[in-house]
Amino acid sequence: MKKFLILIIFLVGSIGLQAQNCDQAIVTTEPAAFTAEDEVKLLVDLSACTYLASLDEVYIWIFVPGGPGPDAVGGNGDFCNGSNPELLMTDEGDGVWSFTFTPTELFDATPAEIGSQIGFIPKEFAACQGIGDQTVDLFLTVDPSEFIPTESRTFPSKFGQKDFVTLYFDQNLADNQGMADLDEIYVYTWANGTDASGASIGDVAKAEWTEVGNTTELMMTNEGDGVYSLTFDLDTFYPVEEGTTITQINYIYRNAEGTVQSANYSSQLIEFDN
Amino acid sequence: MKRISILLLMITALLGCREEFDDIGEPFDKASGISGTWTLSSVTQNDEEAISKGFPLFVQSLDITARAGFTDYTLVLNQNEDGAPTTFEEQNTSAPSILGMSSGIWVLDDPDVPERITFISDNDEQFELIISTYIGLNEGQLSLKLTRFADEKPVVSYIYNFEK
Repeated sequence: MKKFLILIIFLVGSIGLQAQNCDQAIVTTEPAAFTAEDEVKLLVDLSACTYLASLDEVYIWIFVPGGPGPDAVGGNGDFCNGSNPELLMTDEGDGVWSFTFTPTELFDATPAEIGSQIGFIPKEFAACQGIGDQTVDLFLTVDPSEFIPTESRTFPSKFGQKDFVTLYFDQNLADNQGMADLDEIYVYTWANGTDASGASIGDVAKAEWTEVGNTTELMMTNEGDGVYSLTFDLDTFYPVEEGTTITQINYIYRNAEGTVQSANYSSQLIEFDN
Repeated sequence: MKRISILLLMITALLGCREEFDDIGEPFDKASGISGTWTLSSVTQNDEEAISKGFPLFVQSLDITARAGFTDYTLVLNQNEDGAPTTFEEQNTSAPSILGMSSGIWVLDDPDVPERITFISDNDEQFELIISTYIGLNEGQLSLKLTRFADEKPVVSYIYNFEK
């Protein structure tokens, strides 16, 4: 019974300490999207993290999940007893701290070794006190430096409100054998956004799920070699009212009947409106 | 021996002579060359990020002429007696609009060496295209480019090729 109580006290204590890690940090980067080979300025607004916001110095603990640490500057240091002084962040004022780096240089690693994610924790020089002296684990998305073929992709990879968009489905890379065997492929697609008044338009489908097979505009073109495509004008494709700003499109590949569909649904943010 | 050397020298000099070029004529008036009735022949969409990253060609560019329905598009660029731009008309019975306006006036940023064409609608809306190249202009070919930016970086571009 005594051991059981000690275990409960230990668990409650651990959860309590975990709860002290600030989860209110707001992260942005300049540029907004970057590859492992680009210099990026990471900005973290810690003004909502009471203890961290009171510090004169904040350090970054930075890592590639399952990969290298900041080897080019001699590593992160000791989380609880003292960070590497090279990883002191820059005070930008108003609770915002920055750190500028080039991933391949900082981690002394190739883009492939860095992959698609970088993790980091803004912290006090010597953390582990359980008083909010660190944030929770935070992550940045790294754009690929090399083209990686996938089951679904768009052309172009990024697009705006007034662009033509082509969806591609490659049966050779299909996660689902049923999709790999189809002779005709359709797309069920819907858009999210805001109307002229700024209100959310919800999910606006090009055609309802049951009507996809009867909608010729949703039938993909067989390009040969198992590759299917569908091109549309984003500005006019979805049945939205004039003045609507589409912020995201979503799509599922399927057969005419809707009995076979892609394993995952895809979604893409509309990144600019010019 | 001396005579042979002189003879060889003369033969070499004669062989070295090149035919004279034809007269290149008057300088080509680019503004006037841009005027006219242009039929759209092809539209290429480019993924500028894929190009800058050196991705494979099939993810860099795509011919969207037929895909996007640009099969019936004409752009009429009128000029006055002096060869200066006046009005324009977009004729696209079934093709998508490129300019987002059906008529108005068009102006060049520089009449001698134009780089940009600005189209201005009757409602004062403006749309700008870049002249991609002068190559082919005096042979009835016009190439115009539209580039879209995000965070001041080119993201998507379109090349519109026309024929007179």
